[in-house]
Parts: sequence; structure tokens; C-alpha cells
Amino acid sequence: MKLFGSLLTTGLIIGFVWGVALLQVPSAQANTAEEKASSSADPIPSLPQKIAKRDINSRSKEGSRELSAAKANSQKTSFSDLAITGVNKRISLDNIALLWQTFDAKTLLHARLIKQPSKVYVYYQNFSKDYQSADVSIGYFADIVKPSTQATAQINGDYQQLLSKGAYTTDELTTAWQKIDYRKPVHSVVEVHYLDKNNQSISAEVLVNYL
Amino acid sequence: MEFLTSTFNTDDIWWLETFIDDWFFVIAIALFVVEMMRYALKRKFTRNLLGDSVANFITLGAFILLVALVAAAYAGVFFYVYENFRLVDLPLTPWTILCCIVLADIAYYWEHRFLHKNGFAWATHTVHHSSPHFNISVAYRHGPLDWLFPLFFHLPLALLGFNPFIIFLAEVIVQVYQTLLHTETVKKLPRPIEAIFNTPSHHRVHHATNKQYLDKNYAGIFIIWDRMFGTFAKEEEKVTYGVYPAIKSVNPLKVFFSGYVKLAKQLWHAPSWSYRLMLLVKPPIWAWQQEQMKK
Repeated sequence: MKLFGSLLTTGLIIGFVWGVALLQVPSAQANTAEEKASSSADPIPSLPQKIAKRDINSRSKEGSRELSAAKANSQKTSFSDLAITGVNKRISLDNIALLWQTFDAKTLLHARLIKQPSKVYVYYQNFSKDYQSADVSIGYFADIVKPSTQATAQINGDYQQLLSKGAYTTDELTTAWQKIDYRKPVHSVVEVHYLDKNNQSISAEVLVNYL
Repeated sequence: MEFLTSTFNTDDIWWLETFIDDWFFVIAIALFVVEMMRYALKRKFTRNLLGDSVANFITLGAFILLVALVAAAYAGVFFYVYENFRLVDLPLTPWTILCCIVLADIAYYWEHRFLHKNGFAWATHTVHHSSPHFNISVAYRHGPLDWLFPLFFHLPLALLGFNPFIIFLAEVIVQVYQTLLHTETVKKLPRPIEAIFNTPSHHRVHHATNKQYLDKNYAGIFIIWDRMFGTFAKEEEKVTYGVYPAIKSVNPLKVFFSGYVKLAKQLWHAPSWSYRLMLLVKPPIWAWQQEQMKK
């Protein structure tokens, strides 16, 4: 083939392959729209939903959990430079499910885990004045992700328990947020989701840090 | 299929690129040792082969130093074009990465063809071809401006909406694939593989000085580009490696700068400015033909 013909063919190949790459753009946009629609209908994050499913089978424990939660109100947890690696976004609190999906889709991040993760942290900070949005990070304890990269967030400070470790329904997790004393300025909220050996969330804990 | 459209972030892609780059080098070194043992067993291991291989790795070191100096500027150009002029936003997915690898491979084909057809570009690429041997270490035999030319041929990918991190990953994959082609150990692979992919056999032809093999098999990963564009040659006659005239040295400094020292001498002794321009623009064989005509 002559040089001009080769260049023309190259142009056609580039156009074709680029077109193949572009094929996924409408489907990605459609997925995002679908996610937005589903998240606005159900603003509860996906992982707590998993907890909720498990909770149906363990309703008899509900009373004891309430008791432990009540006891927990006086308990404090301290974090000192706890680095987490995962995803981070300024996001409306109604759309946390989207960030969970992004986190779940991070195949390479999960592949970099050097051992079975026991927890996933959700760190909310820099809340808007109306508490409708915040900088939210979802991630694993950074030390179990290798090779190391810059941490997504670092958790520091003394936290009060809003909900002690246990299996909760989505409603119960939402209720925990209502226990926050909004008269005080809130620095950050941490949800700790405890995982089983199949990486399924089996229990959770909610903590708050006031300024 | 779901995996192909799952979203990565730039952190993941950077990690993958570094992982491939580093570990592939370790694998290549292990294979190089195996190759040398094979030469030793066949009583073909010579001092010249050892010296040549050491020189190859020293040129790699010199190349890495130069890349370290220009890396930020090189990456900056890609990010500037991507941020300001991209036509679309392509998501960071394995699907996009696969498409980018195919496009980076065809870009590499043209870059490689240009390196052989332009006097200024050949002056750096000749270093890679100047070894009279053919083993994994030759893949690491670099010239001083080997980092420059990929820029012009891969930059359009940023314009098409490929994130620079994906472009760099694709460039690395195209490069590391070729590393393994520099071997005499593998003769021929099964026919379907030889038909579609670049193989050690095809690449031996590319490194040959045999007349019928000159300027053939420019491919990176896919040999189909050469087959389509009429630059393919099959390995039939035994290959002799190197460049003409041979540099006959294992001095790494001499090897590394051989192309530009020769070009500088040619420019210095050129009879006119138009001749100098031709030396920079025309294929290297043009200068050789001019010299033959003088004789």
C-alpha cells in the first residue's frame, strides 16, 4: 500500500477504534442517570442495605442492640492519624449510594489488599451549613493496601459513639444521625462497617466528633 | 463484560503502570540471564557479547537520567492538551485502556517508521539497532532522544479524550511487549500468532542488515499494521544484525552518542545548507547514496 493509502487506512482505523471507545460513553451516562434516579428514591447507602437484609433474620436481637446503643452514647473512641485509602468526593448526603458504587467498582483497589479487610470506614467532614452535603471518603485502612499511595483521608480526634458496633437496619442507621447534637458544630462523622470473610458488611458503628 | 466498564481512578492506573514497568524489568532480567546461559551452553558466549550487553544497560541508565529531567515537561504537554483541547471525555475503564492500547500501537507503528525514514530521528534510533547481537538487553539499548519522538505520535490520543495516565500506561504496555521480542531463543510461534502479533521472528527481521529485510516490520504489538501497509517481511534467510557501517565498539558513551556524533560530522562536512537540511529530513540511506555517488 502506498503511503497515502496507508495514512488514510490509519485514519479509518483510528476512527473505528475511537468509536468503539465512545460506545461506552452513552451507556456510562445512562448508568449514572439510573444510579441518580435510584439514589434519590432511596437515599440510604448500599452497604447499610446489606446490613438491613441480614437484620431481618435477627430481629430478636433488636432490644439488646438498643440497650447497647444507649450504653454506647457515653463511650468515646479516639483516632490518631488513621489513614484510609479508597474514594473521596464532595457529595450530597442523599447520593452516598453513588460513592459506594464507585468504591465497589474500584477493582484495582480491592486487588491491592494484602490481607482480608475487616472494616470499611466512611468519613464525613466539612459539612455544608444545612448538613445536606459533605466531603465523604470511603476506604480501607491504608496499611493493608499495597503498594501504598497517598491516603484518601486521615481520621483524627476523639469521637463519641452514636451507635455501638452491631447489626442495624437502614432506619436505625438514619436514626443514629438524628442523635447528633446539631446545636454543637460538627467536625466529622465516622461510620465503621465491619466485614465478614466474604467482604459483606455484618455490622456497623457510628461516631461523631464535635469541634 | 461488567469488568470492562468498571471505573478506575488515575491512582489505580498509575499504580498499574508502575507495577508493569517494574516487574516486567525483573522478568526481563531473569530471561536475559537464561539467554546468556543458553549462549554459554552453545559456546557462543563471547567477551564482545558481554561487553555489548553491559553497554546496553548503561545506555538504559543514561536514558533514564535524561527521562527524569524531562518527564515533568513531557507529561505536562499531555495534560495541557487533555485539559484544554480534548474532544470528548472517555471514562477510565478497562475498555478505554484496551482501545488506547490499540491506538497507541498504531501510533507506535508510525513513530517507528518515521524513526527509520528521517535522518534526525534515525540518529537516536540507530543506537538501538547498532548492536551486532540480538538478546533481551538490546531492548534496553537506547539513544539520547528516544523519549522525544513518542510525544508527537501519541499526543493526538489526548486530543481524542484519552486521559494521559491511560496513554502512558498504553505506551508502557506497547514497549514492554516488545522487550520480549529481542531474542534468538524463540524461533517461530504458532501460525495464528505469527499472523496477528509481532513475534521474535518478525522482530529479528526488523533488526537485520540483510538487504531484503531493510525497513521492514515496524510493528509494536500487532504485525497486522505491517501486513496492511506493505512493510512486512517474513524471516527466511538467516539474519545478520546491526547497522551499516558497524560501530564496532562496546564503549557505552560511544554507543549512546554514535548517531548524533555521526550526524554532526555529516552536517559539518556538508557542501551546502540545502544538503544539511536534507541530512536532517531525508532517510539515512539518502546520505549513504550521496556519498556513494561522490565516490
